Amino acid sequence: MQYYADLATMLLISLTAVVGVFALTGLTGLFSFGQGGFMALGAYTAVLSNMRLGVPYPLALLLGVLMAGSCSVLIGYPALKLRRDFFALATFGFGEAITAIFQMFTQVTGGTMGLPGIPRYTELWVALPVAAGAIFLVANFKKSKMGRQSIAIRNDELAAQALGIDVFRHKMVVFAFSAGLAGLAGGMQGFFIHYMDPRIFGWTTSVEQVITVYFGGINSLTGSVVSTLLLSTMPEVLRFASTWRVVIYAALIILTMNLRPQGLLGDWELTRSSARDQYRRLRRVPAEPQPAELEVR
Amino acid sequence: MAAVNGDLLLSVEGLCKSFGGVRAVVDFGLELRKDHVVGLIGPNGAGKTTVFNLLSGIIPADSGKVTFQGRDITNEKSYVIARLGIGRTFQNLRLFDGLSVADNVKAACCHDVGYSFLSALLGLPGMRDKERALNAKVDQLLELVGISHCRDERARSLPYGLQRKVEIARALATNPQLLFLDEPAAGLNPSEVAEMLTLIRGLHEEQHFSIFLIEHHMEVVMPVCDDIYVVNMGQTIAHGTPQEVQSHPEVLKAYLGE
Amino acid sequence: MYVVQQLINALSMGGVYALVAVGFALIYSILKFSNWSHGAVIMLSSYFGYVMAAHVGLPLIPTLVLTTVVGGFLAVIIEMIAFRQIRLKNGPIIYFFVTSITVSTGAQFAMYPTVGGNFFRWPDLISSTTIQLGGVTVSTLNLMMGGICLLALVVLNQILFRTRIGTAIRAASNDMRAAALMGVDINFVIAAAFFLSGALGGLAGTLMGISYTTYPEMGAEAMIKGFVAAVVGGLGSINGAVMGGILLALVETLVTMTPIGSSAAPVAVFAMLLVLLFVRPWGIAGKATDEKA
Repeated sequence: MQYYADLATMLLISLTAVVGVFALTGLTGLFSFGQGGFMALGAYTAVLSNMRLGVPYPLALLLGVLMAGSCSVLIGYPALKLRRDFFALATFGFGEAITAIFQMFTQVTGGTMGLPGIPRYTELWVALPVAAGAIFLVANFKKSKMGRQSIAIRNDELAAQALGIDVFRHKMVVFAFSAGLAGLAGGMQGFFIHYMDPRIFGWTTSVEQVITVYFGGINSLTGSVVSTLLLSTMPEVLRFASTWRVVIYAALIILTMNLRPQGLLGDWELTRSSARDQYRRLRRVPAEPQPAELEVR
Repeated sequence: MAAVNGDLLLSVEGLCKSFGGVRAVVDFGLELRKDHVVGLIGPNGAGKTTVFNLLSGIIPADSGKVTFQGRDITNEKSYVIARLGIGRTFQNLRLFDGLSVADNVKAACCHDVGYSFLSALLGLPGMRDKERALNAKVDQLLELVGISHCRDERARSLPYGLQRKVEIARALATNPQLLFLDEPAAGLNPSEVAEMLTLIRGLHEEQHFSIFLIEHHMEVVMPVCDDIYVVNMGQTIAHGTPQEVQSHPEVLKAYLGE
Repeated sequence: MYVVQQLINALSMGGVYALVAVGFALIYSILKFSNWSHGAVIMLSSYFGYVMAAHVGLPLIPTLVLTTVVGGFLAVIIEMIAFRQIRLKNGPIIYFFVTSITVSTGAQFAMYPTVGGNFFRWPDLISSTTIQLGGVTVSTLNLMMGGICLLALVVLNQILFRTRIGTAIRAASNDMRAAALMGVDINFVIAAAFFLSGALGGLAGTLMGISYTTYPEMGAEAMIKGFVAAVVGGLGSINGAVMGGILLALVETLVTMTPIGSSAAPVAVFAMLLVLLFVRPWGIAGKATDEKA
């Protein structure tokens, strides 16, 4: 039983980070390979403030979020002026730099020997509302002007800017938002696996997150959720999958891009109306007759 | 036709731009008054779209001065210019794929969506009210342009003529005082061109938009413009009323060759 | 004197970086996107070369030739599985981004469970002697590597400027649509460009294996350096890529000789890139391009 609870908790932690990547990479088209760096920042800030300074768990998590968010503003300011490739490279460099810095300050972080003995505060009943909250925020993001402007920017930055969207500012906001979510996920993870090591969050984490989002469909938040569920549980279901996890992810996304580039769920989103439609379809309940139909004869 | 001495809305002096060794725009000047429609015509490659791009902040000018409503907007960022009141369409349609027609237009409404990021994230009532108002405004615009029936369709899947209309609705969404229309009738069949002319007429005479228009279809340019500038190879070769320009020798030479 | 010697020896590394950068620039000039799968070609070719040299026992020349050809074919295969469908369906450029990075990452991680993450040392294909050139000691290895790189670039130049396919590639890089309209078979041209790019990558991977070792991360590392070099030289410009590669190697060597040592080298490279991106975004040899509205 505990095993399944742990599995679910880890899944929910990943979900928190992935929905942030959905907003950043799926909707806005920004490829950041430094999300691992933000997770690490969140993790170390939360864990160290709790263990060394006695900050209570919820506040510690919040500190992690703030640290990740502020750092994202710092590196975003120069980096977001760059083109897509260069931005990706800059965030990659940032992520690697964070790992290197954390490895250097051995007294504080435990360096490469890691930081053991972190209290275990993240349980299922913590991770569930947090992940649900994150999904709620990102769902609202998508429905609002933020979502529309993000898709506009992803599509055609030049036109978006010419129509009055302050593209740079928008990107900064989305970048900080996703960094904050990554920091939150990192913090939760620290108090869950109760061991921390600078190398846990690397660029491959970012690659996996991007693959997850694209696999689900870049326009569908539901897709990212379903995708996280499928891909996270896969190593548990298929024994060999854990050693080959990255390779399987890679093969999956290449297949997807070739055969179904819109992703698993395409544009479909789970909303009240789409849920109602699905329910009707399953129960074979005919749709409400349109007024015109009633007037035939 | 509007009065000759309306307020000066847009004035351009000495605008120049070169790409590498090619002088795309040479010493371009323009005066556009409120409630007027000014046309910019010339053979292909004459530099017309470059003028648009310079004025709307898409590319930086080498020299020159652009004043809009008394404010110097030379080399301003394009989103600033858009927010100041110039809305534009693009010659090669640049609709946002993945968004419906309504969303395409909504994406351009930055003035009217004054709710904060936090309100957006939390779905606060204030935000939902503003979204409702936004929907109403967008419906109005779609009605004005005549595409209400395709409101929820994916913008890029529409037939070409309707996409052109979406572009215009989108430009209108920015609450402009001045509309830049870059070849709005390009690629349209004759009945669509006539529709476009009616639309532009309506925008000018009923909605009182000032318009700066690039077009090749003379049947659209001549009836609706108060003032026409003719450019060829970056230089302004003629300027005047439609009648004056139609019979101008330089213009005829440029279009028909020696 | 010591400095000069180090710099001259660095030129051989510069040659290798140049090969990677040129491979990058070739694809960029035609398809206008950064081919992040280049690393996979470099790495896999290197492993193939290792097998040829260490297990099959081939000498230098056959190994070089084989890995160059294999690299070319690998790149073409990658184009077919990762890029072709997206290109044909006119998918957005961001899809290329995803597939190319995925290919490199997937290839790298396929190595760990199969051959392991160890560093494979090659047998001595080139005698490790040194010779004196005008008072400077140069290792034969570096001399040969530099020479091979130079030869490869000359051959590439000849192909691009003296053959029909080379002309087609150059035409496509100038204006793809115009080239297609003039009857150029775009699919074939793109495959050819990938083959050339992959061949250069394969050669680079082998030279890196010979002079250092072969290991899974080498593709990603080489690719990033190649990208930086290509950007420094002006993304899309072949000449620029060569200059960028050499410049990069020189900067790396100079920084390694300072008190900070070899750990500062990656930082210096990054710093160079950042400075250039903000000061002269189109690089050394590239031209500022304005997007057409």
